[in-house]
This record gives sequence, C-alpha cells and structure tokens, in this order.
Amino acid sequence: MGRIIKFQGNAMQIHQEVSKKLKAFAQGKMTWAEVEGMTFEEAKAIAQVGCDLAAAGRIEEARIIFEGLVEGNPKDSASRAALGTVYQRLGRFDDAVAEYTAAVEHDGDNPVALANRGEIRLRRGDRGGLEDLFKAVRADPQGETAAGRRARSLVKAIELAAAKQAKAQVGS
Amino acid sequence: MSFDLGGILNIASGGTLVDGVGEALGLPKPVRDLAKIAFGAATGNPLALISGVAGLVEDLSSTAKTEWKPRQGGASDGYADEPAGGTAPFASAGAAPAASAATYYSRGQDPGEADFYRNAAVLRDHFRQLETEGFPIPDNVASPYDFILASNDPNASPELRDAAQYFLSNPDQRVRLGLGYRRPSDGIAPFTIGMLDRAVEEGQQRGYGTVHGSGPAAQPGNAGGSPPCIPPHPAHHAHHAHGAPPPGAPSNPSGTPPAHSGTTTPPGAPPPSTPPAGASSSGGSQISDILNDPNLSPEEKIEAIMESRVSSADDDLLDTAKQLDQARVDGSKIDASSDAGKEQAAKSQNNIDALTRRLQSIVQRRTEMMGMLTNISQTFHESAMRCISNIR
Repeated sequence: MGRIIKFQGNAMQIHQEVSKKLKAFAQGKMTWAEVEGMTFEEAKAIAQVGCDLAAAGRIEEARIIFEGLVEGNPKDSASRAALGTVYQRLGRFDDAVAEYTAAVEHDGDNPVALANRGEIRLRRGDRGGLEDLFKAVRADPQGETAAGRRARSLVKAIELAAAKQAKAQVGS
Repeated sequence: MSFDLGGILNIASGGTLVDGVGEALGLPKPVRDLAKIAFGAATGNPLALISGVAGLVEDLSSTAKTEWKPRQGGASDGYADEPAGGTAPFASAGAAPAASAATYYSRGQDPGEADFYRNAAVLRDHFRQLETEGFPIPDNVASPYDFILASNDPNASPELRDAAQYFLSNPDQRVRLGLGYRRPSDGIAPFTIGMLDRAVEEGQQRGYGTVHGSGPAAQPGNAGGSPPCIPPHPAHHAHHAHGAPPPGAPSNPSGTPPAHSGTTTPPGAPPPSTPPAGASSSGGSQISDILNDPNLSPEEKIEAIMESRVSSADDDLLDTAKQLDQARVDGSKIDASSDAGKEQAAKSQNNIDALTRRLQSIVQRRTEMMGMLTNISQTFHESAMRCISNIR
C-alpha cells in the first residue's frame, strides 16, 4: 500500500517506528497488515471487492485479492475461507482444503470453511466431512451464509432419508 | 461431536431415497448427490456412497460461493487499530469522504462554483431532513417537492433552507446536480444522497472544500453496513459507526442541534432569494406555491402537485393508523363482563372496523395516486425521448 517505505529522490526513507514494526514482522510478532496499518474495515472493503469479483466470475482476480489479504493477515479466518472457495472454484481442491483447515484452526466456528471442507471431504469418501457439515449448521444457526444454508439442507436431507428408511424397516 | 443419527446406522440402501427426499426439499442435483454421499458415509452404505460419487457429475467447484464471514469476537486480530477520531478510508466502498459546508474556496477559485459545491454539501449533511420534508417516511429519495418544502420550512436549519432555495433558483445547477434527471430507460432517476456525494467529491477533487466533519457512515444512504457477501457483524457495527447516528436517525452529522426554534430566519442569515408567496403547510396554498414558482417547468409543477397529494394521503394514513392503534388499546381495556361493558366493547369494535375500512380506502387512494404519478412521469419521459430523437 506504499505507506511503509517512502522513496524520496534516490533515498529510501524508513522511520524509526516503522523499523521497529518491520523487526516485529520479521520475528513473527506482527502481521504485514499491522505493519502497513491496514484496519479491519479496510480489509472488509477489500474483501467485498474480492467477493464481487468472484460473483462476477472473475475468479483469477478474486484469487489475487484474497491471496493478498491472507498474506497481509494469515490470522484472518474469513479471508482464508474465502480464498478456499476461490481455490475450490478453480478446481484446486487440495489448496482449498488447506485454506479451510487453516481457517478452522483460527476460528473453529467458521461456517464457510466448515461447510465447504465438509463437502470436499464427503466427495472424497471421508466420513469426517459429515462432522464438518453438522458443525457448520451449528456455527450458522440463522443461515447467514450460503454455505451454512447449504449445509443445513444437506443435513436435513440426510436426516429425513434416514428417518424414512428407518420407518420402512420397522414396517417390514 | 455428538450428533444424533439414531436408527440410521442399520440401513441397507438409500441412494434412491435420498434422491426422493432431496427432490421434495427442492435441492439441486449436485447437493442431492452430496447428500447421497453423506448418507452413505453416515450409514456405512457403500451403494449410496458410490451412487452419490457417480452422480456428482457437476463439479463441487460450481457449488462453492465466495463469502467473507468474520469471527464474532477478535475478528480484527492481526489488523491495525482504527485511527482515533476518523473513519477508515475504505470504510464505505464507493462513497466519498465527507466535507463540511465550511471553507469552500480559496483565492483564484470561482465563487459560483464554490456556491454550488457548498450548497451540495449542505444538502448532503441534511439529506435525511430534506428527503422527509414531503414524504414523512425515510426512503432515501428526495424530490423537487421536498426542495420546495425545505426552502419554506421554518423548522429546517437556515443552511438547508438556503441550499434548497439555491437549487430551486438555479435550474442549471439543479440539472447539474441530477435533480429531475430523466434516464432513457426508466424515467426520472431518483434523487439520492449518492448524487450529492458525487458533487461533493468532485468539489474536493477540484480543490473546493475541506475534508472534515461527518463520515460516510453517518449518512443515511450508507447506513446499514455490511455488503451483500459479507454477513452482518454486530461486534463491528458499533466500532464502525464512530459515534454516528444509527440508521434511520435524523441526519445531523455536524453534531449541532437543528434550528427548531420556530423563527424563520436567524440574524445574519440571508432570506430566501425568491420566497414563494403565502408559504405554509396547508394543501391549497402548497399547490399555489408550486404553480407560482417561476423556477419549475410545467412538468415539474405537475409532478410536484401530484407528490403533494400523495404526501397528504400519507399524513391521513399515519393519522388513521394512530387512531386505529389507540382504539385497539382502548378496546382491550374494556371489561366486557357486564352489560354496559359489552355495549361499550361492541361500540369499540364498530369504531375499529370503521377505522380499518378508512385505512383501506386511504391505502387504495394512495396506491392510485402513485400509479398516476408513475404514468405521468412515464408520459413526460416518452415525450422528452421523442423530442430528443427528432432533434437527432
């Protein structure tokens, strides 16, 4: 964002405070977003651009946006989950699962990461995917996210089918 | 993890069953196939599992939707703190940073242009009051009729009155602002705070005005917060507002109380340049005000008259709704155990029925007037388009 290192003529100027921040960043004590002074609201606005790009089918550009956000703040579970969805849409399922897993590590109740990871795991025949789906439903009880709503539909379908079959078995 | 899958672990088959249930629930095919896989995984049923995987022709990549859902607590972990006393530069994407109405031009700049930008900033700062001058329920849209009312409203601040009068007296500047602009596609474009934001932003880019005062979050057009793909985040709404009034509150970003003293013009403030004769809130004189206003075109006059009629219907609607509410409250307090009480309750019910019928007729009248207004706007627009196409 050009806030940290300023070029003045041929000389590169770094203020003392900035120098401290860079050291902290190098030691892993600060994220690059903190060094740059990027606030949560700024990140939210940038993420909105990424979401809009993805919704418009401009997935590569959305990938660049979310990769940038994740580089800036790897602790941001929302950006990691969003990057996972972008990877998923690009067919990079391993990368997607890695991002979802990282998102869940930072925020165990992220419905986007849980629902999408659950679906991928199920597709691979991993029974643990079902657990992710149930967690996603519990993490998003109001259905605020599309992923949460999808997980709820899936779980409902499974439960209904199971109930019907159990009833049929009892009848026979 | 403890989820109840009671009774489903002994199931032998299920692919078809899941298909049937999924269809009944209206699930798309990829999701139904996923459900089959999940069903198979949950029940240990390889048939359902295989059926689901085979049926999942459409790739999972098409089902994923990119969403950004921040954590409820500590979402800003890893980000810098918000700067004290100011809104983040990207806090409202697409909105211009706010400018107060003061300090609008310096030496060498055009005073006429400065007037335009200053008055636009005033309207932007008082947009909530402006847009509710005619139609009392905030809808984030102002009309020429609102401008006429604001220019004569003794309860409006002198700045708002002067700004409204400025644009009424300067048709060119009004057009430049976008008030009454007709879109080729669907008639008159609604006059929103976005148009004022653009004017103020343009002024700032040209060096008019200074950046201080209210933030975009304080503006009604930007109230509401989260963009579509970002679910609401209560923890950050309060943080984001920076002391701005809540959505729906009257816009008064400067923090100064509005002039509700009832005086028409405070000392030092210039009177409106062309005050319409007999300005008052009564319906008849409002219409004569509109008819006598030399700054409005015939089309704008007709539209303003129609809007004034709609506005009076709105007042009736609100009054009747209040009466109905009161009648219901009174009716609920009546003790219907005695004969006198029963009689009173019957009277109260009759009153409620009459008010309900009146409310229905007012709503119908308002709907008809709105339809008429829409038709008139459409006709004017079509006429204008015909004229333009003839010129071409």
